[in-house]
Amino acid sequence: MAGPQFTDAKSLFAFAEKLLIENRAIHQKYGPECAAAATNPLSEGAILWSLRKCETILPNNEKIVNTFARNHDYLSAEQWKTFVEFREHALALKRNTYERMDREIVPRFPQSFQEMLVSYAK
Amino acid sequence: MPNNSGIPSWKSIQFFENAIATHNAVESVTNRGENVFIINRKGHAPVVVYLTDVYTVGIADVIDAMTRIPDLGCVVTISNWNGYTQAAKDHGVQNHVGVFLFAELMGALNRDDFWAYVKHDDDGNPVYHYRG
Repeated sequence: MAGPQFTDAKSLFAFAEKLLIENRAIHQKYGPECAAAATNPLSEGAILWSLRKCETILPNNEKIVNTFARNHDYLSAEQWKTFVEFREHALALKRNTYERMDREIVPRFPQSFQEMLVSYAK
Repeated sequence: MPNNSGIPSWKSIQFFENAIATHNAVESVTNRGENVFIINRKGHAPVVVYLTDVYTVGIADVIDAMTRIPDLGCVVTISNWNGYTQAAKDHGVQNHVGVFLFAELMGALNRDDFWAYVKHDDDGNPVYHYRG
């Protein structure tokens, strides 16, 4: 799946931002740092988190990675570098979902990627 | 709630102590400090537990806990969102140290060889928490 072709970086960033909004909503509602996890460590919310991660977050990440790759001509070297940080996070998250790895080598979501998308949309 | 430090919240520790105290095989729980607990059991040897809240317990965590706590029996990561690597689990079992989620510890406390406890699903298949 190559992802859609855009005509400028702004459209590309808007596309990615919408997918990340969905990911963030799921993470905040069901992720390891959600309110349910804080109040009840044995909550079955953990099952829901696994399901929603596989159904939505990982595919959304893949769409973003593929779409950035297809539209890389619109990105500066600095923007590409920021995207690569996100790509490595996305790949490690996917791998960790199927088989956990030592947490030190699984990078968390890079805020710099989010900042890039938001700042460009202004 | 997992966090970067891996230190369980006050609320999680309270939850742990209260839940363990209700276990049929448990006589009493003593907090030894620094997230180390001694679980005194009825008719079985006590189990020394190191409680954490890291998202994934790795082999380095197990080795570190074994080094710091010579009488260590289990490393337990409290949240259902957490898990462990296969390397961490295997290293623990080889050294008679259980690596568990909290829910697994509740099953393990019924056994003398608690470190080897594995939960099974309805079809009899072993359930591990190797997936994130």
